[in-house]
Amino acid sequence: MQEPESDVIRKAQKGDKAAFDAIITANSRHVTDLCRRYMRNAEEALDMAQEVFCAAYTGLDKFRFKSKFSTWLYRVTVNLCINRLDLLKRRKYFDTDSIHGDEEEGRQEIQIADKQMAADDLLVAKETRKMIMDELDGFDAESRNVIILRDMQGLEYDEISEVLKMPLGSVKSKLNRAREKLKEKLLRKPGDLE
Amino acid sequence: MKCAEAKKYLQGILDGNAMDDKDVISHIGSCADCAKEYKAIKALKNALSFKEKTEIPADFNVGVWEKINRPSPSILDRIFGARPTVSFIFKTAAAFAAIIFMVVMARNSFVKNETVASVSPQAQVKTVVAKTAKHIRKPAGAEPNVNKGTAPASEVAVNSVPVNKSGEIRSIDAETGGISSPGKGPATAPKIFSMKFNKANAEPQTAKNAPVSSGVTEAGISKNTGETFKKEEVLSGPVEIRNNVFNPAQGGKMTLKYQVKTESPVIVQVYNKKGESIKSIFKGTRQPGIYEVSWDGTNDSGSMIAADMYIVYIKTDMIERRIKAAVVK
Repeated sequence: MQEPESDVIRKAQKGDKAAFDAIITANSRHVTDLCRRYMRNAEEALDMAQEVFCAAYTGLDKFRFKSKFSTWLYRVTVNLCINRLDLLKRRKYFDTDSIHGDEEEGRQEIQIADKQMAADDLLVAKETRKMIMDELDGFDAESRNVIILRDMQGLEYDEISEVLKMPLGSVKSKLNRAREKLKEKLLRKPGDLE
Repeated sequence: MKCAEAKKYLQGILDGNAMDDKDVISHIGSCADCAKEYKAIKALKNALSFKEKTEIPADFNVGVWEKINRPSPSILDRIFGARPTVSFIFKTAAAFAAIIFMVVMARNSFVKNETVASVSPQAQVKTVVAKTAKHIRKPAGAEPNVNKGTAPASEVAVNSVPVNKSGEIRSIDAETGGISSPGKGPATAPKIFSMKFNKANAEPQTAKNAPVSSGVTEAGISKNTGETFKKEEVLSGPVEIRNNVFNPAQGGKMTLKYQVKTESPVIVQVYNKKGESIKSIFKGTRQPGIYEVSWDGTNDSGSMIAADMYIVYIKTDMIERRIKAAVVK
């Protein structure tokens, strides 16, 4: 995530709309990507990202420059996404098409790590990914967070620790347990793994 | 390698720490369990590292401001508002100054080029080389006198230059047309050579010592030709050239205006690229004055020459030059 200049943040804190608009422009991509990890739906992710910036605008004066702004914004994003997913769960909307619909339809081009994959391999990989994401949805929030932030967003352990306000050791142990669970799920999967 | 060591190593793959190790690879090749785990970890890494691309709409920011319930900032605010004030002002001012400087420099060079182009549209051909400018005045309303001296009848002086023996240009009385030396009274009117060259007859009314001049119109600015003299004739150099790229088929002609300070022989001759003389425009003696000759693209026999590059040689008491001329068709 792009770190805005402290002058810009201070201006935004004083109510400078242009400054906050610059912050939105600089970080919209990263925030939307992170929201997409949680929401698994492009429209939901965009809506969620806008909600994140709304929350950031109203709570910007709480940012004390003790951490990186990006870390603070990650935290806002993660908290809002988890709250939204909990809300959807409570309303029993979690498993509806509104959440997972467009991922299955594959409207967006998906970039798999190995770009040279053949079409059938790609299909297998997509199925594997869907299985992993479905499994991840069943995890507790903390385990899901560490997997998303570490293995999907590529954050460092200490940064995850800051975002989730969790001790570094807990982050590592939770990550290992979550990975182990996912690996076990994959090992139980019939057929070849790709 | 034991399975425990291999599995420990395989855990590092997800963090991106593990490199391909020969021992591990050979162990995976021989141990089915470890091979399966290796495949599972690879699949997990692939599944987790995929990127779902979400297109950010152009009105994303506007949507945010609507949700905040505030109007979005204007374009000017977006451009100028979010930058650190002092550094941004300095950078912007420097950028503007640089742009203005470049525009001014580019404009200056353009104006220079335009000036050169106005002298001659063909950049490859040299035109006027202005070394000295003489300010020569002609009395208003003065009737030109027909030359009865050595000047040929086929020539008309554009402007007779009143010059004394020492080469000084004397002043001209505006009312009488007389020439007066500094500190002296009115003098005689300046000598004006006038004659209209009849191309069809090609038989100029020559006086004594008439110069060779055929197929060319020499001079042409006089009251006899219906043109008026300028009150002040300025020659930007010893010779002025007009239309050295011309199409004779369309009536184009090259014009040379030259100045003679003292009575002296003058040669204006056209050569081709081989150095062969193809046209003798003027060869004779000139009185002091400014003369204009033109070449209509014909040779000595009066026929039109081929389109090519030619050299016009001019020699007076002041200069000797070879001027390139292009005949186009």
